[in-house]
Amino acid sequence: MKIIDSNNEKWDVLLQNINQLSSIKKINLNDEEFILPETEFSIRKNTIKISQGGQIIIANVVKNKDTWWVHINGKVLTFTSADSRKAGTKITQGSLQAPMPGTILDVQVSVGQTIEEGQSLLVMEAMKMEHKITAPFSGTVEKINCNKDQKVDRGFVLIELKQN
Amino acid sequence: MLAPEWMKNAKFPFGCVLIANRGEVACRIAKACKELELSTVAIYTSSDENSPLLDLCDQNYFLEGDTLHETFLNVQAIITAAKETGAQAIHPGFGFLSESAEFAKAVIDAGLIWVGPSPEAIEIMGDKMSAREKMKSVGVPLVPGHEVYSTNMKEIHDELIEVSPKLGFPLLLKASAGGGGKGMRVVNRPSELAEAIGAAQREAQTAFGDGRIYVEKLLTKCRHIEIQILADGYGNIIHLGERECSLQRRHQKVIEECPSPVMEPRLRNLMGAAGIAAAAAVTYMGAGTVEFLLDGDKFYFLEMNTRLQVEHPVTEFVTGIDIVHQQFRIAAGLPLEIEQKEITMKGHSIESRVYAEDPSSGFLPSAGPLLRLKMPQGPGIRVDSGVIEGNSIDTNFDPMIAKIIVHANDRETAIMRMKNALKETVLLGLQTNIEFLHALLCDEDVINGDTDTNLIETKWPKGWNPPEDPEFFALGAIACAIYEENGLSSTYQSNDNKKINNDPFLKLSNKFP
Repeated sequence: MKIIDSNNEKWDVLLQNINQLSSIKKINLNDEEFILPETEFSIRKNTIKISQGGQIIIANVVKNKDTWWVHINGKVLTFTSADSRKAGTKITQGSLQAPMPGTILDVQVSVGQTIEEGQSLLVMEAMKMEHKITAPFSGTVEKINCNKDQKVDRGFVLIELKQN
Repeated sequence: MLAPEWMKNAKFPFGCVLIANRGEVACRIAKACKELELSTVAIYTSSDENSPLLDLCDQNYFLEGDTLHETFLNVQAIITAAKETGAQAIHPGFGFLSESAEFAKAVIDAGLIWVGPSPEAIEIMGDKMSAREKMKSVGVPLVPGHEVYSTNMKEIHDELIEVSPKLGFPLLLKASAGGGGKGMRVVNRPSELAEAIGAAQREAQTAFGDGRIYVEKLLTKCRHIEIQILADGYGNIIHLGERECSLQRRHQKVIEECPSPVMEPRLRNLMGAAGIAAAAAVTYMGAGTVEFLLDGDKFYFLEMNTRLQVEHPVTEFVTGIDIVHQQFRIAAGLPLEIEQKEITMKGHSIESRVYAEDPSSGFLPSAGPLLRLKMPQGPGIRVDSGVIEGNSIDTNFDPMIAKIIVHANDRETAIMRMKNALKETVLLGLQTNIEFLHALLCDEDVINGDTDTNLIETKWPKGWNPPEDPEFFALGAIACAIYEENGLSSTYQSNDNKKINNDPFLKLSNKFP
């Protein structure tokens, strides 16, 4: 199975199953074999028990759409399917997305305007706190896709910029 | 509803309480009511239909409307709910209308019992500027600052520009009607002042409907220490010691503890006495908290919160006093049974606030379904939460999902216990700060109790990233593969029928089309 982690690393896992015990046939990280110390896996109700060097670790996994959420030993990791990543919409460079769902409080620039790196472009509110969206580089404002008081979802492309 | 037996000598007996809140605190209050044999009314909106609160309360009253102003901030609708359900008292919890003098007054005028202080006390303490004046008059030390009485943007701006050199930078702009870090802005240099005034005013206006702001000198390297007060309205005022709340981010508390690692009896007595003086100045009644900044051995009044506080459980663990029980006793008109000299502090308690936020992207709020939720259990562990697996967290409400509170004989054991409790907590489906909370408790300064209110922002100005460990990712990848190949996904669905009817994703897409 090919999946991508939150750091954009590509994992390829091949399992072999004997009864209730899974073992790894092969695991690749970015197409190179990844060497893991002796590790065994077994499935318990809803959880996966990992046994490694005499230590037991319990993993919880849940899938939501194309994302797997994994809890191991107090850490949460997310993975997405390598196929869905390819099919996903490509974000053009210079488009600023809403980092969270919220409401636009103020649009501080207009189309065609020259902007400086770090300049505040718009103000959003989520959970009653204000967040400034600033320019990641100097350039010009190409397009503004939102208005004051508009509610936007996470990932919504707010403003498109062209780098100088 | 008949009042319970323990109220038989009370001046204002009541038997049924409407909880004018939602989520975690509403569940906390509902449980206290159960223990005290009080009948309960929950108010809820369409967002709360799957809330565990509705199972905890004896009656559920639906509030129509999509916005907070139509629902949890709607004074008239809540009073109507109380009247229609036969509730005799209203507990406001924290947040929402808990510090609204107007609401307290409306409750009292409707012939209902208000579980809280008088509207006058709320009004004086709720307005930061009038609170400062009141404290000045009774000799409680204040952070140096300047109150601006104008409501005109330009006049405020001009006045602040004029006084700021005298106070000296950095400064802190604060909303007079403010709380919870909203409408607050740090200004490091004169050039930032104008923009900060605008932002603070806008935020204050949205959050409180009142854009008045004032300025205080920003004291850095300070601790946030607060004193828990109980006052019965018969002149008996006691304090339950302090809470150390220095670990904050953007003025939102993250980890609190009791006692403070730097507190010694002499300072505790001094701060306790100042807290009592503050409460006495407004003829306080009920449970309240007086917040101070501690700079070395000097302390300054910050504000008084005229309500139950999020972090009250740490005081409950250490003193053994149930603060919500006390609130109901006081509201019924019963005098305090506890004297100051009987208050003892036993062991050490720590609270961690689990927030729906993403530490790796600068702590931005997150939202999503609680696909899996397993809270920690064990000796000395308390979890206050208002959600169950299958619920979803949306950005319409506060980002706090739950509180994990631990108690142990000493601070070191309490830290150890909390670290394990956090590791045990499984919360999948949205980004949270749980790993960050764990990392905080591994920080050397935190372990040594050497904290100040800027610690988090100084150490992690751009957010926090978990240490990278490819082996963990490998195990995670394998876990995903096993999950897929063994069809664990179908177990998750079929284990709980409720989940299918109440698909959290459907809810999400309804909300954010």
